[in-house]
Amino acid sequence: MLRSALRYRTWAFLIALLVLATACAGGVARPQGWAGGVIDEDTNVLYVGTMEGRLLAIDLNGDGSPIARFELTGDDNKRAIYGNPYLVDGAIFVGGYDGFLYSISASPSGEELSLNWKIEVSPDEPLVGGPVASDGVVVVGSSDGYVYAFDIVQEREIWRYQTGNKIWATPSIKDGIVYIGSLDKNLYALKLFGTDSQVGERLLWKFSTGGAITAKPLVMDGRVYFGSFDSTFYALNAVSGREHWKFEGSRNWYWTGAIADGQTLFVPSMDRKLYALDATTGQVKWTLETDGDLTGSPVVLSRWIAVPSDDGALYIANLSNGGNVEKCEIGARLRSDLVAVAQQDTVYVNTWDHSTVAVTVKENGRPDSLWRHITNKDKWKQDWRDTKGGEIC
Amino acid sequence: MGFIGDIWVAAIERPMINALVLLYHVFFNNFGLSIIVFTVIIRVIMFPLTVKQANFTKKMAALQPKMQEINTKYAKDPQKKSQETMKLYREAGFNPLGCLGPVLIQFPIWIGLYRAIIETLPTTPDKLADLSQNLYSWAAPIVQEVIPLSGSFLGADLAKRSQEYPLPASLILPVLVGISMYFMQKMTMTPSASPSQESTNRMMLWMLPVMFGFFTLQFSSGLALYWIVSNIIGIIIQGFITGWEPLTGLFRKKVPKPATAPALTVSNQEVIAPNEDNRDNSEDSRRSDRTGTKGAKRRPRGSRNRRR
Repeated sequence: MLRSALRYRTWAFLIALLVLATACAGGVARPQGWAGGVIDEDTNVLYVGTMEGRLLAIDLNGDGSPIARFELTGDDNKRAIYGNPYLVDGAIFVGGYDGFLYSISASPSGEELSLNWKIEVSPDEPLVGGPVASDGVVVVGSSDGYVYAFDIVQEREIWRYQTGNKIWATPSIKDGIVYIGSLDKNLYALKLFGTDSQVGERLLWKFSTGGAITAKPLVMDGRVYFGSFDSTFYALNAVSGREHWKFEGSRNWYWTGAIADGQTLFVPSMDRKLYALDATTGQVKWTLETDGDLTGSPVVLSRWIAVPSDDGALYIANLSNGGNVEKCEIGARLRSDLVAVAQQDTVYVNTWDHSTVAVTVKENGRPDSLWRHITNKDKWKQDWRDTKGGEIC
Repeated sequence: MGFIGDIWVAAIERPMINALVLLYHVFFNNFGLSIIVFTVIIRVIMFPLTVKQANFTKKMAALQPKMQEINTKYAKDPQKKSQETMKLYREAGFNPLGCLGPVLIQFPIWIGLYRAIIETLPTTPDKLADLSQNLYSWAAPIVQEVIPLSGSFLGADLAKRSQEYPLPASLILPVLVGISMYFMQKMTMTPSASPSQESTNRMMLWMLPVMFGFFTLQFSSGLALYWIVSNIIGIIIQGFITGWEPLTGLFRKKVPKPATAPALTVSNQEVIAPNEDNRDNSEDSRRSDRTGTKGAKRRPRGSRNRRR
């Protein structure tokens, strides 16, 4: 009996260990990517970064059919896009999780978007925040903790600046100053132009917070607005970096950047709320509550504001008072920034289930889905249409 | 995720995540120290079970002579042998499967800790965003300044798997895990009552360290650190309860066993075979040793084998 008990115990233990190893060995996280998109309003083409590590051009004139695509390089563990693509002068800049900065032509060549150039910013260090360009210079932050600036035409690095931790934020550029947050809890203001030898000290100022910063700063009217992991939303003087006011009403981190309409800021928080704040005083005008984290930036439409939520719904609320709230139940997590053609009251959102959805907002504020473009099909030009049928909203 | 998944997260994963983050905040922003302290806490909680397992080993060792007797006596009658063995257990108040509890309870801890390390040391933005939902609302304001955590410890990244390092660095943790597991097995192994049990013990002694060494390559280095520390603590506890002989015996020089003398047959004398009952600890026995017949009684003077 004892021999049997011991033998059973031995084999049961070993089999359980094998099951443990099999069940858990695949638990290492693979980057998913949650990039938004950018619209070329001249051609009415939407360029989205998909979860498959692809830049996809979608025709907005018709029913959302695909036009062309560009595949990022790298193996499956690195082929992801987190930052929004940036369009300037006929070129689209994309930061890849593979550590490369891509310049891609916005004009398709057949079914492909051709590569202008690509630069390996830092080997084995992902680019998570999106690139931003101004006056011939494209700026991007890297997971190696550096901010990099590249000459768009000459395709070479102009300068780099080191911070204390990874940079997962997208920068903002205004009046020759780069504003960028780092996971080292600081917001940096850096001179955009000139090499290090020309400008001497690159840093204009830095502002320390109590938590990491991943949000893209909003720069307007001489102020910089951004949120931090210390659950505080800050307004600073853009030139001096001095604190103008701060809002401490949130109970969780700020992940994504705020947007503005006039003197009203719309600030999404991971406490599942969108705060409408007075840009001058930081006073709360109204609050929109959702059922999920807000990690994607909202977008302002004609009379509405559209807010993507991790609960799988797109919230539409009245821009002036946050009332008349309608929901479009898309059914998949919404973690990307929205992009919209404001005059058309149409919003485009990337979903966590590998699709791009177009939603229009009617006069009465009710959302109506236009199409769903599935992005992970092998036959991307034939099978992109969602054939499940039925309304999304 | 489902009801069971929700229970798992609420009862196991989330407490571990918060514990690790809080310990990180307390212990100088060092994730390695956090895991070490976490391991000590877990071992303290499991101390009653560990003592139970150690006493199981002790009881098994005490029962070995009687079990050997039963094996010898009923070698040809397996049914009777089984009955007598169970009777022995009952009389001793011993449950041979009682050691399974302490062993099985380790599994959810390992799985939970593995998942907690992945969640606490996120390598992707989505995982970092998910961490905010795993922190308790009362803990978040305390630990927000340490997010994101750094997994750096003694030159290693505790979020990485050993196989992600180049050789020979990738083998350091698997070897350490294997060695500590081997010594742990040695300390807790029950003595063998039969050849088949001996072979089972030998299998476990080597197979577990090899398996865990292999697992170390697959799982994050933080889990390997937990195993190493947990094994060391287990060895110490076992040593204080049952003694250090299994360990010290490994390092002691082995003394060759003396040869067993054949039985002496002398006319008009009883057959004398060397056994404990006949052992004489006086000087005579030492003289017997010199003649190579340990324990044998000395032949009276003048006697010899004679045929009459």
